[in-house]
Amino acid sequence: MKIGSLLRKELKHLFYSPMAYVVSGIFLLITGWFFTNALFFVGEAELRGMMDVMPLLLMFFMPAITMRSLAEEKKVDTLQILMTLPVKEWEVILSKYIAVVSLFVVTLGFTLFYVFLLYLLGSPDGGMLFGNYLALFLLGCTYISIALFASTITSSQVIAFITGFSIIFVFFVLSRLQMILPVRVQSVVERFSMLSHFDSMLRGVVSLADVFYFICLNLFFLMLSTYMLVRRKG
Amino acid sequence: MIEVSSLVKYYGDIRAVDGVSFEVKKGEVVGFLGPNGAGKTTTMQILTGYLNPTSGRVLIDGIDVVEEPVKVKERIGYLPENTPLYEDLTPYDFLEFVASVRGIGNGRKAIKETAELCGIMDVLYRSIGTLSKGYRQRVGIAQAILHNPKILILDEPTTGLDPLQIEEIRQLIKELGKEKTVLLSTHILPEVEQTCSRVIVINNGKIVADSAIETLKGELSGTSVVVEYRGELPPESLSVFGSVQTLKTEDGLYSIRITPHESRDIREDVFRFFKEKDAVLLELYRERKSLEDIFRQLTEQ
Ligand SMILES: Nc1ncnc2c1ncn2[C@@H]1O[C@H](COP(=O)(O)OP(=O)(O)O)[C@@H](O)[C@H]1O
Ligand SMILES: [Mg+2]
Repeated sequence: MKIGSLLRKELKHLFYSPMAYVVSGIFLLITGWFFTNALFFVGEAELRGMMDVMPLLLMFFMPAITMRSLAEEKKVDTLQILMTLPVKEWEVILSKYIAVVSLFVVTLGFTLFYVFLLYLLGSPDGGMLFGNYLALFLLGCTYISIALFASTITSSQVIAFITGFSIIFVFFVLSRLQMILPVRVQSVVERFSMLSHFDSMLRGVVSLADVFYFICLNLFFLMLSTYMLVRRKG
Repeated sequence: MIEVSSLVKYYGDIRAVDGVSFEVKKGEVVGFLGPNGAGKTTTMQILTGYLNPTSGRVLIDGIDVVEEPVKVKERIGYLPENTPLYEDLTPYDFLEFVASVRGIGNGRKAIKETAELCGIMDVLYRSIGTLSKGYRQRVGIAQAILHNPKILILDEPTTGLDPLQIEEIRQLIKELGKEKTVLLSTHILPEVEQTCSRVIVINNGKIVADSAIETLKGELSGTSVVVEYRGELPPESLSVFGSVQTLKTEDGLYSIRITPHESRDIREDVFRFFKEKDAVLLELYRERKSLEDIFRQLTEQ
């Protein structure tokens, strides 16, 4: 399987680079702080504090671990090696996407320690927790697909980061600005806003519509990334 | 093996390749020669399916590279210009990746054989980023030949190497050329003379010459004759054969160049002339132009 071979290479790049460890480490520190903060100072054994900052936190972390994917290959010209191997553009994009998602999942896996603590300290709502993690996973994947697209349009990691961040930020702001928009536009914006879908999942209500929304967004940006790679050929 | 017809490539408004057509037959080792910016790299990137042409057609082993890029890529080994490599991998990891993407059955064996052939056995487990330019080049070539392709496309394989490394790489290319069809680009002339049987000269995106190296030399070498003699004979007296240019005179020793007005071999006539005048002819030869001169002549047009 070519995807498998490509994926193994991408994973090597990710896990050989200090960037992955630094970013994941900081991520765990910050989420840990929010969790313990709620636990000890507010006296709440729950993930809400952590979940509230996640959309913002991931907005920085996902572009940071994704920006390298294609920008670096372009910059040092290894794209010539990669794209003259007998592989298709979508296989390259998908393998890079899965690699970063894997890193994200591993990092997210570490936060399960907090969940473990919750179970020690009380009896949390399992359904709610499942909803929370599914929402986090889907949101993170979506951010990654956007950041990956940003990485296809430039050979500079910095520009890839800024572009990825900006696109995600627009989605984010869009939902926060809802209230000041005319009522008619509100409902449309709400439908397209990541946060409203994310929030409804956080409440423990996992609707197929929300899941479908995120999957569509992922597919859209993966296809857009593939298109950029095809278009590069001129 | 390689058929290129009317290839055109624009980068925005820049016409990098301008109607290039040529053919490389099975087993040939062809040099693709031209100054920097001539369009060599662009042409090779189209041949390898990395870029699409603006117009024109490329058939590799009979397969259209735009229509079936994956099939073409399976048949080609490509060394990009400046040998871009994954710095953070070891040559072994890198070759293993290439082997698995290319679906090589016994990857380990292929890697070992190729590494031996390319002389990178002792750096196989060091990070590529720490290797010398010479070793990097070998890793680049190893990557290109790992799947034993019928066609090798090498973009400036010796640029940036020291003389010893250049010689080693040329030797390796010669070895590979025995059983493969090779197209290698260069802007250095001796390279073509040493490794190739044929040369395609490109300048400003256009092909300005395409022939066997000997033919090219013959075609373009003038019919000028250089004569060295001792005696009283004034050089002007030789102007019956053509225009005369004195290269050297000292102590009754003359060295002159005669360029005949019409293109013909005048050596016999010159010899008879000297015999008649009973002058001492020390040397008589037709001047051979170096590829260097030919190249300059071609690209100045
Ligand atoms: N990616 C690019 N974008 C714009 N112009 C390019 C690009 N690559 C090459 N060129 C231009 O196309 C011409 C041919 O370049 P190239 O194929 O690299 O020549 P060579 O390999 O013979 O030095 C040059 O004028 C070069 O500046
Ligand atoms: Mg070049």
